[in-house]
Amino acid sequence: MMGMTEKSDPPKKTGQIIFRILSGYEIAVACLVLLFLLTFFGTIEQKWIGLYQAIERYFDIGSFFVVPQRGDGKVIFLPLPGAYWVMVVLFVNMTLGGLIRAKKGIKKLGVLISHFSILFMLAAGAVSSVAKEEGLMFVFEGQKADFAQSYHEPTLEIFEYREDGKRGRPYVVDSEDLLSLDQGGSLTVQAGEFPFKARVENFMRSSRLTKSAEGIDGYQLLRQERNVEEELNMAGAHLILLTEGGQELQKLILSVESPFPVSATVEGKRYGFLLTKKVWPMPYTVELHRSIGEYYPGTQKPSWFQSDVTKVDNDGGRESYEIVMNDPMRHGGYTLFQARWNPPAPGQSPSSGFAIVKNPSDQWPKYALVASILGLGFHFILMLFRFGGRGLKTSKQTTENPATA
Amino acid sequence: MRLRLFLLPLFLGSCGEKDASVTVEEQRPRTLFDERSAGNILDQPPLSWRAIPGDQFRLKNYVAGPEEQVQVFLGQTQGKVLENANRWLGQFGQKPETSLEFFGRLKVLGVQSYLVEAEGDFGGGMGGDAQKDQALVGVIRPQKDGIISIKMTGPVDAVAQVRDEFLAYCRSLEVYAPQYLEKRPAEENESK
Repeated sequence: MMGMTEKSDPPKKTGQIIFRILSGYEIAVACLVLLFLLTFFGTIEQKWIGLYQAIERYFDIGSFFVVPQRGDGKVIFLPLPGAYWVMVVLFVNMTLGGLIRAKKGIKKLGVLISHFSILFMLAAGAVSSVAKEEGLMFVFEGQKADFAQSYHEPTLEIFEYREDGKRGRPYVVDSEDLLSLDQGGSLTVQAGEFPFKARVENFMRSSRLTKSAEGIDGYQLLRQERNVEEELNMAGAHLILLTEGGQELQKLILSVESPFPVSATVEGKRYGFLLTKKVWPMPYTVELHRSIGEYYPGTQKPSWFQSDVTKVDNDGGRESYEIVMNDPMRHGGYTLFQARWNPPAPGQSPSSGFAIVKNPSDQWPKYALVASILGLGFHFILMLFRFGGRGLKTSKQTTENPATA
Repeated sequence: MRLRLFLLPLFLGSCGEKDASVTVEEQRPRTLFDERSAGNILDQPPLSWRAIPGDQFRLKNYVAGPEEQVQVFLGQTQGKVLENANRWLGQFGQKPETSLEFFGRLKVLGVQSYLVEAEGDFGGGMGGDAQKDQALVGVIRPQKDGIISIKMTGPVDAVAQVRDEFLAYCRSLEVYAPQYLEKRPAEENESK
């Protein structure tokens, strides 16, 4: 009867086959093996290309395939699918196999909860990969800051100087647009209603600004090999200011190495141009009152540091915090970890570097872990009682009817 | 909001280079990052001056004058006023002075400062090549741990044209460091 139904309804059978494949152990095992290989080769390749590039190559959403290589470019393994997409497949597989297809009931509740918590952890990773923002806020003792800067993303800021000589609000060209120029090409930018266009040329992700009589304004950019420590890569570019009609007004040279803007006057107004790591405004100001630390003996590596800060909200509300290693300040969805400490240079104050992370899924792995512990704990206790109960039953049967023992 | 009006890759020969356009309409809110000023000194240069990249010796670095032949730069360094003034004079082949009384005076950032002027063949130095018929107008302001120097160099005629603007610029400088919670170091220097 069942066979007839299956024959007369082939789409259902095909659907069932697909469902069984997608929810099967085979895919789960393949995904776990691939994740092991990706982690293994990613860790090996990190030695040559650094952590940032290894994550970008192996785990980024834009990485569909990766060919494990040595530092000299020699291929060391077969091409592997990108880890992000392997985890997507694993998520689908576990949802179908571990939740939908799995047996339901009170006896399986703990297992279902632990499956769900693993899915939740994978979702946390996906959200973090897409939505997480991080940067560094650097503050000297006795000073304050209300912004952080990205570690890696160069941006171009274009602004008008105000009448009091201070900078106006800048228009910001995204790093995504700039980084796409690293292999060549140009990008023409129209910033708001400014009476010029700015064409970015000769963009270099990693460069050095050197003096040269033949360069622009006495400087030239030398392309550098990309540093494995991504923070150390100093982007540079040429900027050509153009009239609406495309006539050249001014040539400028920009470098992240040079921390202050270059300028040009167009139609009687002064404009500033700055290539800098992405500036990230914070919803509050951090005042640093005390920055203290210690080094490991005989090294320049801080072993312990602490910062006494006051958080000042935009509405003037003040709150004091003590930020110590592994004890960050959490507020308004932002987490401030103390990542660096610098002792005072001659004539200067000590300073603290706060790694700032805004991640909607920041606490999700913790929740997932707790859920997993509860689920597996429940399952363990249930199994323990069942085992104990079965033991008692067997023992009782043996006592009542020794011949069967 | 960023509005991508036109993003059309144009492949140029075999290079694979592209030209793209983007319109940026949203402005980032101002922060203390935008209040940063090199050396914690706020300046308002004339519109005809153009800021170019600086370095540790040229915290503020401008080109000015006809055909941008004049360089104006501000730096902070160690040393005393007289020894720096004489070093500058030496770069133009002039004899050193024995006392600060031979130099002009003007107030910069609230402190009496010294005006150093020279003309002649620049012998080279500070990354610059030797050049004939050059001029210098410079101001040295003493401070607690050294000096602030503001220096203008270039061809004699061009420097003469920009001289008044330069002196007005020096007088207009202001200490500006809103990132400090209490009294700023520069203000402390002024009070001593």
